[in-house]
Amino acid sequence: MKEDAQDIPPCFVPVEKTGLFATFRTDNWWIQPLIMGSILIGFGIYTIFVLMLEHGTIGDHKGELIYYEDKGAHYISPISSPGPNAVPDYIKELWILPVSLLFIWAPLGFRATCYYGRRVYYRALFANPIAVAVDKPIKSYSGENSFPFILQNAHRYFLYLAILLAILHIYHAIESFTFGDKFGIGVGSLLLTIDALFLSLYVCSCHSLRNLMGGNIDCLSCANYIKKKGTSWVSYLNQFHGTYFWISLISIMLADFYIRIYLGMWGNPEIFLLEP
Amino acid sequence: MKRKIIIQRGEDPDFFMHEFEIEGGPGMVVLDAIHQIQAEQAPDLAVRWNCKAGKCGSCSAEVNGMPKLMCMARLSDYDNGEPIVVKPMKTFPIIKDLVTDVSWNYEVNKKILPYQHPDTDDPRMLQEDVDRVQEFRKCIECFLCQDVCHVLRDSDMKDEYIGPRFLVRNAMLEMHPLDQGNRLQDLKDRDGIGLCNITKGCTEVCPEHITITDNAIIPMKERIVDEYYDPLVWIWRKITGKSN
Ligand code: SF4
Ligand code: FES
Ligand code: FES
Repeated sequence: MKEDAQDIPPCFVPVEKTGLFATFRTDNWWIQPLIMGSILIGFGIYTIFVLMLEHGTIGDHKGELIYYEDKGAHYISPISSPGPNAVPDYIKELWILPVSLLFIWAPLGFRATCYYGRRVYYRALFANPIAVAVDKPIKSYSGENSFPFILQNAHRYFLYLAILLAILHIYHAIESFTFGDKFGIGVGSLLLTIDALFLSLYVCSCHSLRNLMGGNIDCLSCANYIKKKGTSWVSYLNQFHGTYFWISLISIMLADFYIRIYLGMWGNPEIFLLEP
Repeated sequence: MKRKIIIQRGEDPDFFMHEFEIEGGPGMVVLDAIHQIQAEQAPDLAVRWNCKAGKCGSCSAEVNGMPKLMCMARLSDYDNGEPIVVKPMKTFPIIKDLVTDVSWNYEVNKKILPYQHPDTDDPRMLQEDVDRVQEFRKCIECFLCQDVCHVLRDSDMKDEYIGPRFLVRNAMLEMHPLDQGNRLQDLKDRDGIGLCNITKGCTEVCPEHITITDNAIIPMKERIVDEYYDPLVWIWRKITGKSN
């Protein structure tokens, strides 16, 4: 018995699917890119909003809302960290754009060149590809071999800056528990602590750090104690790098929103879990 | 319980979709269904298989659009009322029905510099040094990662890119504590590692759960940055006189 196409009753499933994002997948493959893309875009919009607020393009808070010091609190809107206090006056006079821009390129560059971050936006924003076994709309491709994507190779330099930034955020978190010279816990302290914790975990689980700590050595047993321990810790944390990416992204936004907008712009009083 | 199975059949250029109805039983996998169809309805249906245990890597296909080993895909994982669509791997030329020609992979494999043994009398390696490469040895060469990689699948760049399976093999050799070879230049210039945009589709479909992107490809990309893109490493090596 030999069949060929003529003997076979026509089938309602075509041999090829056509159209945008053609696929034979029947599961909800689009949910993940939709959610991830929305969070990224949301973060982008919030960051631009924050910069416009600081610049005075929106509202009348030019150069304000970065530090919150009501009732002796020491809070900083973390997206602007370390803020204008860290900038010498002569630079501030020359610089006409929001001061936050002097710093924000570093964390943004860190996230944009992050191996996990790349996975997220190549899929969710560039559809290159949007999901496994779903057709790409644009087939011509040069990957990370040519400009601008070849610049992704600079990720480790952003890592060095991000390590400094994580230390800074830890400092902001510790400082946020002091009100005047008293100890207290406000929602702001809590949010800044969560931000510092997950930013640090995100940085400590970085692929470039893993390479630096000893991923680039073949004979691990020959390496020194720090490299040996370092590789195994970073490799352990590295398994959760994507989770830290998301939690740290959302937690910095939350902390910033609470301090800059809820307390600063809207003028709400701080909610204390432990009164100073 | 009756199940509908729709299989892509034919030889280039005459492909067609063929619908079958089978009697499904408990624990049945897609490959069982294919065998039942072969035995009872279409003896000339071509399918490649060997172990039926997810260990030989022969029965790769696309089940409801997802690259899978047919012997590991249970019918019960798919909605009862819906037909199951089985297609051959998209990335490779079809020989007949579900059988594809994966010989391109063997050609790629031949180009990779094999393990280079050291000249010492008594080469030893410790377990902690091999732990890392052990994961890569689980590969069963099912080529599902090659099938799903968009650089090969959509952009069809087989001349410029070796695909995840062979980046894994390179990583296995490069991280080997005794191996004396250096494959970084090849990886960068000939094998196209820069084409991987780490979207991790390969990791998602690997039936051996090898963390292809995170543990093999990214570490290789980082070593290439060390070697060719990072001026600080270059200066550091000049000062310390260390090569690695
Ligand atoms: S790496 Fe995984 S998916 Fe790729 S060929 Fe090996 S077992 Fe198959
Ligand atoms: S890889 Fe994600 S931060 Fe370095
Ligand atoms: S038949 Fe061997 S892996 Fe499926």
